[in-house]
Amino acid sequence: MVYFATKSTLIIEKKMRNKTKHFLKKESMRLLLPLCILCLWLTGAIGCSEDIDESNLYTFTNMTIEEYLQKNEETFGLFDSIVEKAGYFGLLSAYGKYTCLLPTNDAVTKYLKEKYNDSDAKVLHNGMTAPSVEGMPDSVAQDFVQNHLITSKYLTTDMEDGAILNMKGRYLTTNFSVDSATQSTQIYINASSKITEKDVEVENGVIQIIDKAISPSNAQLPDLIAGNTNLKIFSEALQMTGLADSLKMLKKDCGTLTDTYSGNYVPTKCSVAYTAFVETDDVLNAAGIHSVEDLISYANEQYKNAADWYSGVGTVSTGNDYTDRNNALNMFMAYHLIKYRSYFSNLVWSFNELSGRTLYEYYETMLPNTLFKVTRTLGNYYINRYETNSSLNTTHELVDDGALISNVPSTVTNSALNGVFHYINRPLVYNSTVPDNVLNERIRMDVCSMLPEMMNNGYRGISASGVAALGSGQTTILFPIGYFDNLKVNNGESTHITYIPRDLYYSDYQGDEFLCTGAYDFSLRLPAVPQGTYEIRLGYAPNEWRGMLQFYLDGNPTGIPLDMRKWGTDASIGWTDPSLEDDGGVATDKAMRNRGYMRAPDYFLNNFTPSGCRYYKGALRRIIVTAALDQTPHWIRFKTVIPDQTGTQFELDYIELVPSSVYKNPNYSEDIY
Amino acid sequence: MNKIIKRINAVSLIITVIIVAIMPMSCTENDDLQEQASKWSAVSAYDYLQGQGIYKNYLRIIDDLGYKNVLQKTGSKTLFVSNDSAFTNFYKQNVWGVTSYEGLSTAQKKAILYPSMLDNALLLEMLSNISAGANDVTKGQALRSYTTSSIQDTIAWVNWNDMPDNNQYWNAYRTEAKGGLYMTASTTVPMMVHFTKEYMDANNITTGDFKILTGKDYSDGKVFIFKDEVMQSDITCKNGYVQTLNSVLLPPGNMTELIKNNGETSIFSRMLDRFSFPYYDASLTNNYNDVNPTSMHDSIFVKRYFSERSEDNGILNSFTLGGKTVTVPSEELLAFDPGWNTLTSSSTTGVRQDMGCVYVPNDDAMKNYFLPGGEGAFLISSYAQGSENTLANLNSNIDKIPLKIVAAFMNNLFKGSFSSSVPSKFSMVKDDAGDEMDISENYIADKNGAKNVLIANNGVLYVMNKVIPPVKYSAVSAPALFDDNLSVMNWAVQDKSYLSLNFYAYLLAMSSNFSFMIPTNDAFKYYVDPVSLGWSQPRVLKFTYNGSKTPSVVCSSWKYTPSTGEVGDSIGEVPVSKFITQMADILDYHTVVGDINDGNEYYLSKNGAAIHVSKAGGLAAGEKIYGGQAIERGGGSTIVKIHNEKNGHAYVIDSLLQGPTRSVYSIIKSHSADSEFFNLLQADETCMNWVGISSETSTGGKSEADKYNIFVLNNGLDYNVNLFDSYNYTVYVPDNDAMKAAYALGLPTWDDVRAIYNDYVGENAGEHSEEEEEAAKVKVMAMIDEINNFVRYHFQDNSVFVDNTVASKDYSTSSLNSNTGRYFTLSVSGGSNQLRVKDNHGSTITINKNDGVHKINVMARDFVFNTARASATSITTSSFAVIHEIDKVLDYHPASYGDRYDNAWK
Repeated sequence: MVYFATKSTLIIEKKMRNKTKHFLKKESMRLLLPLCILCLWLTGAIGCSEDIDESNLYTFTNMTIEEYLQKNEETFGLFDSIVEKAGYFGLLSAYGKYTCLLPTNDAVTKYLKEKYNDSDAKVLHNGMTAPSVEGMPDSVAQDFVQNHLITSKYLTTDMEDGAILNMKGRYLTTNFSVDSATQSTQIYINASSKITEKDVEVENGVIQIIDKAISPSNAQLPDLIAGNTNLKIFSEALQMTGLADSLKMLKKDCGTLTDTYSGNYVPTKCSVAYTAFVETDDVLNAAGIHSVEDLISYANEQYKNAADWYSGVGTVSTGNDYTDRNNALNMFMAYHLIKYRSYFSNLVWSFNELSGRTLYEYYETMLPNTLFKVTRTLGNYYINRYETNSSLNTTHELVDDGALISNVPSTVTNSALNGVFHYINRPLVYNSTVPDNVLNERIRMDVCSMLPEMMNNGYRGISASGVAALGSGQTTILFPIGYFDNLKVNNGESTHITYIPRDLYYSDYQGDEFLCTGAYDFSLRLPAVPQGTYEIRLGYAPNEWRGMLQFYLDGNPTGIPLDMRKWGTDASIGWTDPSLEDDGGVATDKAMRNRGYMRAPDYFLNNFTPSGCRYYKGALRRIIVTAALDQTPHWIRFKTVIPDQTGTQFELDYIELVPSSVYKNPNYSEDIY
Repeated sequence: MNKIIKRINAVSLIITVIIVAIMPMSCTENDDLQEQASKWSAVSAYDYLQGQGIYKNYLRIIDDLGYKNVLQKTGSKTLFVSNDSAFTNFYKQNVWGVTSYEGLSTAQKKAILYPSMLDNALLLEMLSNISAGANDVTKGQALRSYTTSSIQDTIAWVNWNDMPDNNQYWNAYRTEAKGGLYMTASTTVPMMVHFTKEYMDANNITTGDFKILTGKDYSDGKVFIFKDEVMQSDITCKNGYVQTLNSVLLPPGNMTELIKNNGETSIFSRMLDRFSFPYYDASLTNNYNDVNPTSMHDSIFVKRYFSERSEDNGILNSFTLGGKTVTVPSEELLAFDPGWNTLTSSSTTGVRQDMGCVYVPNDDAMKNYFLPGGEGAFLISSYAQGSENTLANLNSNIDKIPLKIVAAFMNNLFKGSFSSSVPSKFSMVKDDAGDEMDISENYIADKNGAKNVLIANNGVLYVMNKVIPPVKYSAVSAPALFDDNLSVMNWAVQDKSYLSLNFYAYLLAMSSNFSFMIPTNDAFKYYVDPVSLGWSQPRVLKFTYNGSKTPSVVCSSWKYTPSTGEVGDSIGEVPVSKFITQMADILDYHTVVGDINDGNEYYLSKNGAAIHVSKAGGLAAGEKIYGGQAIERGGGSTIVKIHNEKNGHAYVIDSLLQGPTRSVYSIIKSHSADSEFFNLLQADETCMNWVGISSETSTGGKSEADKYNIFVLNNGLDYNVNLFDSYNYTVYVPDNDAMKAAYALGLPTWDDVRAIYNDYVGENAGEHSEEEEEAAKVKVMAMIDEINNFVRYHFQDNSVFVDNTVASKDYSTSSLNSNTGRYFTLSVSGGSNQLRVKDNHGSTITINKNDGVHKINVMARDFVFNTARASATSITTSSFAVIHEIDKVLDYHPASYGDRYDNAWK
């Protein structure tokens, strides 16, 4: 039986619900049926073919979260009471896809006592009048419920070592560990809440029963590090260098947008977050570093000659002004910090790549003008792992494992209000091998990875339904002007920057893209790369909806306008299907390069075919410019040359920064991947 | 139980009430259901109007046109009707001059009735709905609706003397003998424009905008048809809805008609006429005659406009006139067809969702602009020479301005999207360069106490009191646009059809500072075609402009003798497809990003090729600019005139700049003082093969030997540098003395390598054990690597000339550091005609431009043609280089390696 109702009709006094529940099931059908028929008749007669808000569609084929709570009042009655107090009864009764991290009554009782007796609370008793549900202010009850709800359905099989975003907007870490006694895998939420009963599927989502209520840390990242007894040296150095103070921002100006154009979700806030890759005292001790003084000596030794390989630095200081950004200790520490919220499972992004492709990600660090690379191989994550010819198609010889990143043990809280930290197994240094070896390759970056705001606000990798769940029901995100630090709009709201969530049917690297429309004119900051001659390339998917634009590098126009409406097969591009060519397309690759184009890499899928995008005429790369780049950030400007065609799209997917030692290496040809 | 039942009933009641309450809202979006709903009413629309007694005029029109049955017994219509009072006012004053009902012709009756009817029963609030899939609609999207009008109702007789007299395409019809034509303004049907709150909200059109658009105040819920307010709305009849207007709804026509007829924009209208032509529409003629057998017309024409985007969103650049196809150049096209009734704002926007917009200068603004003292007076003085720039001559003088210039003028004022161009969004309206347009509400002319804005069926016309000229008039490409003597270059810049370059857009980068060299048309009569230099009979190309041809630039080829530079007999015409790469090369070579008059003598053009100017920092008319070829052969391009434009300087030159034709290979080879280095560049493949360096090509197209071969055959004029990749480079060539000094420090030669080889292989080979031979091979391999790394280190990325000012920078070389996989670098600095190059060893060499001994700043080019030089037809790519002869070698070894080169095997 189905009926249509609004949320408001479902928010009814709980007492009435309980009293009517029994009757509804057994005796009310006789009475309710004519009413429903009336409703159906009315809705049918008046032709309600308008779009129905599916969130109001309620199907009684199983229990909802709310019904589950009621049915198991003895175990979860306290949570249910808080739900009611918070006004979330309707939400948990309605159709939807939620994950409820459900604490038992014991867990809730313990939580209430701890909060009430919290001696560190900024407000006495955290505002509670008693250590009970009744003693919770409504706002505290709402926070409590929001901390335990996720607006997507997460079975434990969907979880990995990483984090999930709750309704409160906080990331909850998910850790896997093996119980040594039972050899069974345990999953911990936010380090200390163990899932004791997994995957209770209900009509509107899934319930994960936990043994401890969720109470995300409100500490900022440096404080969380300082509170970790095995990070004394790192933490002390963080304080000495003043970098701890640089890790305390929580949010920044979100920008402005007066015209939001219907059909998009528009962010109204912008969080700032960081990730620190930290060496424990144990790791430092193993490297002969037993005190912060030892660390200073180590950093001095590592960085004193950094100018030899690191042209982006000023004069390196080994003095005792550790707050100087050119001080060796400061440099050492800064290279451990990134302005991204990067949880363990999001250190690299897996979506739409071909089977067997190595996953990698480049991050700008807080050491000015530097990057490091994270590689995932055999399930492990490494910073600055180096294999010879790592972007070429010849034999790969492992030269250096890199620093192994490990998720913190389940007993350690590493998720702060404004970031997260991960352990690494050896000292991390921007030494000569980084520019000479690790980064001496084709650096391919999804545009999202150039925009920390995408990761810090949970937008990167989000699905269309995930965007819809943000509130507006719309599936694309339109960003206010000024939202990004690394993307500057040059002409105000004439430029519309829209993020299209990932989809398997896009011929896109990592499945997502930005679509820029309007009379667009904006600039994207490229990360600093080691000094050298580079090709800067843009990956894009042409089609008739696109437009034509002019590129600029650091203010100067480059090449001739790119007409994104031309498919690869256009004579001016000359794409052919490499699978039909005897040489696998090598000769055409060369011919296309001479025209300033390349096939898309054989790295990600084209699901129209399906095959690698190399084999698809609708996925291309344009060589924007060849230039001698200093180790400083450079700006690429994208400006439409058909400003009157405001509906035409500029697709921004990924950028490649390719040193000449890759694309004109005397020993190898650049690979097709 | 009773309590429970009561609660259930209460719940049911709540639900029912809510559902019933939301019912009307949910029912406003389905046309079919609305049609059903309208059937509930008792009388037809016709009967309703009849019953009111105040619609006699409107009903008479219905009767006269035989539409009574439709509106009484069938149909599903929405009528926008005018009462008799409105008709009374109409007869007092109207554009037709009709004073009574009896004075209305049948055509006029149709023009009143049909545009006032929609073929759907729609509540006003549904006017802005757009279907979104089979069962859904989106609100606030529609600005326009189709009416019952048909094209045939718009066909009218046009007298011969009403046809454009400044346009040759009308000449054949503009004769008194022929009298005129049956014609319509578009082959698409006129539409109704309606302003609703939903549309305005969805498109951020403010009430302030509305006030300017209509002269009327807007309040929520009001609906306006064009500028007429709907007074009484949604009167439900059996077969539709009746909406009432307080005036007679006359179709305004499309933008071209309104521009022509409003009485204040006649000069602009006349300019617009120059883009028009009479298009004979056989299909329309036949269709019309099929349904009008009693008043058949021989031929029905449509007034069309040459435009980049016309009906069906396609280009309209040709038509048949007198059995011949007329095609106009792309630079003479309007951005869109203003006569296209169903004009869309873009190819991806629905017809109903938007329309166009033109900022039309009124006659006073045009006079102020073109008459003496006006910003555009130079156009009259340039193109109407011999005719005084007076008001009396204004129209005829403007007629003399070339169409390409008029097109630029028009297209800056043509905006594809009405909704994006309303006054509240003026700050976001873009000019033809894509930058903010200088436009404000103050520029809209006043009329009768309001702003003068006209609403056509396909767009809005803002009548402006000021001309906003296009950026193209002030960009660095402007001189080419204006000067007929530069029309070949202008064609190449402006072309959108043949070259696929869109160079115009590149040069409209107004934040840049270009130096743009514009060769005269005469200069284009001598272009040594580089692709022919390897042919048995090289050729010179001559490009000439002929506006009556398509494309407007015609290319012919002539025999050429390279040794003398003489031009011989004609070979034949060259189609545009066969000179695209050459023209692209010309455009690139004549464009420098930066100021070529800032104190240096050498500058890199857009494609990395260099030019040389005769006077550093002192360029003026009469000074010279040299391309590579002029330096090779003598000559140079004399500056005829320098134009200061908003984004740089344009230099009109009397001959083409042509890039160097000599390769790096040929230049080094030809200079005996550099023979030692040249010899070192000649890899000995025999020796390489002996030590295991294979010459066999692998799947990737490379061989092991490739990394040792500096020169290779690659469809160039001779040998190409294997280290180059479509970029610009510097090659440092140590002279023989420098090389001998290096040999003395253990740098091997290929002769040294060969000597070892000969000792092991061949007739005079000595006796050696296998071990000795292996050791020898290892040594030879090390020697080859040393030679390879050494020579590669002398090839540097980026052309750096010895000049007055030189930026300090580290540049990559082509010598690969095997430890890192990165290229070794050179640190370059200098200035005051010196170049200082610091190598990896820590040594610095100084290159003096004027040392009188060494060859400095020698330009080279390595072509890659589409095929072998003897049959090449296009330039695939090029690498450019500057060569400096140096008196000391560059050492890639770090100082720690020591000063010798033979440490690896000694």
